Amino acid sequence: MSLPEVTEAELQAFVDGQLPAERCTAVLAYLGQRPAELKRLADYAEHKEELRRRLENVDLAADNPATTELERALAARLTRPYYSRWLRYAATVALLLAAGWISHGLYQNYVESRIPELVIKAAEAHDVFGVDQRRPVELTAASMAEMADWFSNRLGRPVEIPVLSTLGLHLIGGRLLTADDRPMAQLIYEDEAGQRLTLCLSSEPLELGEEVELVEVGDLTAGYWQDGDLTYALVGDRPDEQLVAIASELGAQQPGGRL
Amino acid sequence: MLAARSSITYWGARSAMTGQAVIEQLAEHIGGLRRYAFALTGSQPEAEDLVQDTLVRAIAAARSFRAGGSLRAWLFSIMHNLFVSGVRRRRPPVVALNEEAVAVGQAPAQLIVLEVRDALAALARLPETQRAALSLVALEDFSYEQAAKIQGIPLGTLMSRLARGRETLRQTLDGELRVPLRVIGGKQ
Repeated sequence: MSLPEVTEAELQAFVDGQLPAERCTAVLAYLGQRPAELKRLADYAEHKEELRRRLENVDLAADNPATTELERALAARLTRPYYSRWLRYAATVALLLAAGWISHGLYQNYVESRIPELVIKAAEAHDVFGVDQRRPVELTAASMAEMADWFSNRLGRPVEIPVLSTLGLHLIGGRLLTADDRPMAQLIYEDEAGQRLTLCLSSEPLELGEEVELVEVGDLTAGYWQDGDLTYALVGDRPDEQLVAIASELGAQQPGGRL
Repeated sequence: MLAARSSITYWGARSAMTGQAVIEQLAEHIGGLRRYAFALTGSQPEAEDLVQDTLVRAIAAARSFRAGGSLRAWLFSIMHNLFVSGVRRRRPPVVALNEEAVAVGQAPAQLIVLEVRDALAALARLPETQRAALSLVALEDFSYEQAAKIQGIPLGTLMSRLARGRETLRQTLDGELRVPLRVIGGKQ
C-alpha cells in the first residue's frame, strides 16, 4: 500500500498549527503509519510548550524606566505620522488657509523650502532624546575621542566634538541618528541649571550660508548654518542671543573653516 | 545675523483613541521583544539594552512604518537587524543564558545534568540562526512568512533552520546525552 506524501515542512507546520486544513488528513494518515515520526513530533510540541513555560519564568524586568520612556516616545511618534511635515507646514498652512490658497497646492512648493529637513529632525531629536534626564546616552563624555572617531567615520568628514565649557555648557554625550536616510550626529550639552542644549551635525550638503538662521520650532528655538562640509543645527529652549553666542563659539572652533 | 525668522507651531490634531491603542499595543509587543532579545542575547541586561536600542531605532525610523502594517513584525525586524548587524553598543560579556536558566534554586551538584536538560539552556546552545527561527515561530507565534521576512531569509531557509533547530533541541533534551561537552554534533 502507498503512504501519503508529506514533506518535513508540513510536519513542522503541523506542530505549529500552521498547516492548511486540507493537508491535515494527509499528515494524520502519514503519522498513523509511523509511530517514530509521531513520537518525534510529539516531542517537538512538548519542547515548544516547555520552552514557553521556562521563558515565562525568567525575570525580564518589565519595569525599566528608560525603556518605558522610549516606549512612550515611540507611541507619540507613531500616533503623529505627519509630525514632521506638519511641523514644517503648519504655520504657513494656517496663513494660506486664511488666504484661500490651500486648494491650489501652491503651499507645498512655497513651504518646502522654508526649513531644512535636518533642522526639523534636530528639533525632534532634541524633544525625544535631549530633554529627558533618565534617557540613556549611548556615549559618555569620557569617551570623546572615540565619539569623534565614530562620528567622523559615519559622517565621512572629520568631526571634532566641540567643547563649550567656557559658556558653562558641559557635554553629556552623543548619539547617532538619521535624517533623510543620512547619518546625523547629536551632541547633548547641559548647563549648570540642568537645562539641555543639543547640537546636530550632518554632512548633508545644504545650500546654507555661514550665518546663523533662527527658527522657532514649537517651544524650542533652533539655529542652523553651514561650515565647510558640515551642517549644524543647534536646538534649545533659550533666548535668541544665547543661541547666536553659542553658534559663534562653535563656528570659531570648527576646523576646515571656509568653503 | 538673525536672518530668516519664521514661527512654527506643533500640529496638535492627534486622535487620543489612536494614541491609546498604540500605547497598549506597544506595551504588549515589548514583552515579546524582551523575550526575543533574551533568546538572542542570552542575558537579561543585554536583552534590555537590545530592546532599548530597538526602540531608539524605531523612533528614528517611525516614518518608515506604514499604517496598517504589523507593528509587531516591524519592531521584531528592527530588533533582528540590529542584532545580526552587530552595530549595537556592546556590553562586556555577562551571565550566559544557561546560567540564568538553572539559577532557580537548584543544587550546584545537579547543575551539569540540568544544564543540558533545561529547555532554555538547550535553546541557548543552538546556532544563532536556528535560535532566531525557533524563537520567532515557537515562542512568538509568528507565521512562517512573517518569521522569514523578519529575518530577511527565504521561506525554505526558515523551514530548514526550524527543522534543524528542533531536532538538535530534541536530541539535547532527550536525556541520552547528559554531559554538555558531548552534545555538539552528538548522536546516540
